[in-house]
Amino acid sequence: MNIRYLFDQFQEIFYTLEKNKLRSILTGLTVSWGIFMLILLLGSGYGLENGVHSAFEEDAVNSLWINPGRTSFQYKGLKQGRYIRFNQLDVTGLSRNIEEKEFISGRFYLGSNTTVRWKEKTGKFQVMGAQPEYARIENIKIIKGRSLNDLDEKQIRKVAILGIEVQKELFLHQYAIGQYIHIKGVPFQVVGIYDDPGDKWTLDRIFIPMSAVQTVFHRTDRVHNIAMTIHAKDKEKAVGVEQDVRELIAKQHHFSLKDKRALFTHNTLINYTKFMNLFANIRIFIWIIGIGSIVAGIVSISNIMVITVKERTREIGIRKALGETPGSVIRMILIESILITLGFGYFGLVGGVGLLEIMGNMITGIAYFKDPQINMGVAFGSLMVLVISGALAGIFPARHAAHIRPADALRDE
Amino acid sequence: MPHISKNNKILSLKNVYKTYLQGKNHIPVLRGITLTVRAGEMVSIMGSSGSGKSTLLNIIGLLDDYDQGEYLLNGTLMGKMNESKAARLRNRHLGFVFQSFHLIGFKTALENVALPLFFQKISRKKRNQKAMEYLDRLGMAQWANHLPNELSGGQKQRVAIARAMIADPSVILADEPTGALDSTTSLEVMKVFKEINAQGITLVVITHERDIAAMTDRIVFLQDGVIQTDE
Ligand SMILES: Nc1ncnc2c1ncn2[C@@H]1O[C@H](COP(=O)(O)OP(=O)(O)O)[C@@H](O)[C@H]1O
Ligand SMILES: [Mg+2]
Repeated sequence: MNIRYLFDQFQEIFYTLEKNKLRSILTGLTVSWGIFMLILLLGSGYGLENGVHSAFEEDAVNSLWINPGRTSFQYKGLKQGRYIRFNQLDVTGLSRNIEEKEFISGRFYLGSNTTVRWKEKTGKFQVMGAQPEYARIENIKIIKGRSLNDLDEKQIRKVAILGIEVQKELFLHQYAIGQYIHIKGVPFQVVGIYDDPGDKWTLDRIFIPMSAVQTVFHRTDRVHNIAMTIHAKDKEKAVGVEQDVRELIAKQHHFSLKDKRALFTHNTLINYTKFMNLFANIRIFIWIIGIGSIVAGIVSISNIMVITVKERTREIGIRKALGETPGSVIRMILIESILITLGFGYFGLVGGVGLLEIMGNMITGIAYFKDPQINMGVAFGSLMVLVISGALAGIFPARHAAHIRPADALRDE
Repeated sequence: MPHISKNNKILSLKNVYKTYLQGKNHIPVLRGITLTVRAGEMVSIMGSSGSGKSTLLNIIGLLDDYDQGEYLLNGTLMGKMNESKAARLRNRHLGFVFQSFHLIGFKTALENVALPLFFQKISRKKRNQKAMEYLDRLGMAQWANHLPNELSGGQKQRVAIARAMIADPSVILADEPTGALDSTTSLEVMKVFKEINAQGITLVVITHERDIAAMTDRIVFLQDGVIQTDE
């Protein structure tokens, strides 16, 4: 077969496709739609997964948050409804006794609507006492100045670090380091500004040394709650450490380990693995839907091929009577089907990838969704599967049509 | 195929049988047809509806196969053969004209006429040139770029005849070519066939109209699958 004849055949096929536009487009759009949906699904699934990963960047994934509660029943003669209260000893106790401890800090809420003044400007912010290691637990990034340190804690220095939102609001972008702000009338020197790329909701906070809160404002060694990170690579280990922590505190504060209301612990590693399992399941689900939409695409292509070929029985009969061989008929139908699936499939692929791109640019700052993307190998692989199965699906009706005797194909009803 | 001279037996059927199977019923359609057509003859086949005329023509035209007997096309036995071979033989030696024209609807008159040459792998330019020539011969040149549904019945049949002629066949087979045409147009089409025949092409025409058949050299009557008279 020479090149000119091949070219001629393609010309003939394109001509047929063009002259039967509606049929070609209907077949093609099924394919476009299948690929488009598949790419959208897989891409969004990736976006969800990506979003969860980045959401967990905000805190260390292996952190443990410990909040005191109220006893819900009597225990060893102590009455029901007793408030459990932490103090600095609980922090040191955990620090000493929990082997897996990495970083630990108590937290003291001075108030979430505390009036803070700088020169004539005032604002209301969340002020919190925390120990130096807290910055490591929250994964905050110091962008100017320094973080709180052990010396601040030991010497009860009246220093503060501000979230960038605080700096914006109170200082209106002016240089804040070294300036004095008044927290409830007490002057504190600004030593640092922080940002937290993983957590944009906590940038309106002011951190001051725990010792400063406890001595300047309250004259107590009370701690509202405790945060720590632990060395735990898997869920079982994390659960074990959490249990150790509960036991230690229960013994210290005389409540039953069975009392679920006396102490609340929150283990982000468990959360994280839960999320990861959830997303593994979602991924499987998305793949099932994706494969489903490919199968649906294949089924519609085969149906359309059967209908198309049936509709063309007479045309094929005429062509055969005029001297076309069955092989040539089959080749013509198959090339037509491949061209349609390839062309429209590519169209759907580009559309899907384009929409993902737009989604990625528009949907920012939404929790648990980030950078939807599709692996191009997967995208083109699916297109190839569809093209090949479209061709395979076309073979049987094409063969059937090509072998109908012209006498039968041309009989007038 | 060897050179065809006049008085050669171009079509020769001996005791041809054809039975259709419909469900469990065997329908004998041709029951021993013996018929010889000489090169350059113009023969009409008559007979009542269902007498087997189309079946006979399809067998002659290699559009269908037969069960028993012998069919020789220009001296060569046409037995069981694969479809590709049959397609090539049809393309080179036979032309077809049908009652319902059988033009391809999405192709123009010119493209319909040129189609047999496409299967011969002749270049587009050459086949369109030749198709135009044949359309012109049949007075259809100005309709070349029209689609079949823009043409009258008589015009469609002229296009179909041009298509039957384009590959220079030795035999043209026409199955009730005037069946869908009014009498004036029918006579015009028959005149065209006469002219074609005058060029030496053998013609076999099925008709059930006496005056149409009367325009041919020879009339074969078919009844219940056998030849009744041959005059
Ligand atoms: N493919 C087929 N299957 C079954 N019966 C058929 C088939 N083709 C033709 N016949 C039957 O064969 C008989 C002859 O048909 P045909 O050759 O078309 O007759 P004519 O052209 O003389 O009207 C009819 O009874 C018709 O019903
Ligand atoms: Mg008939």
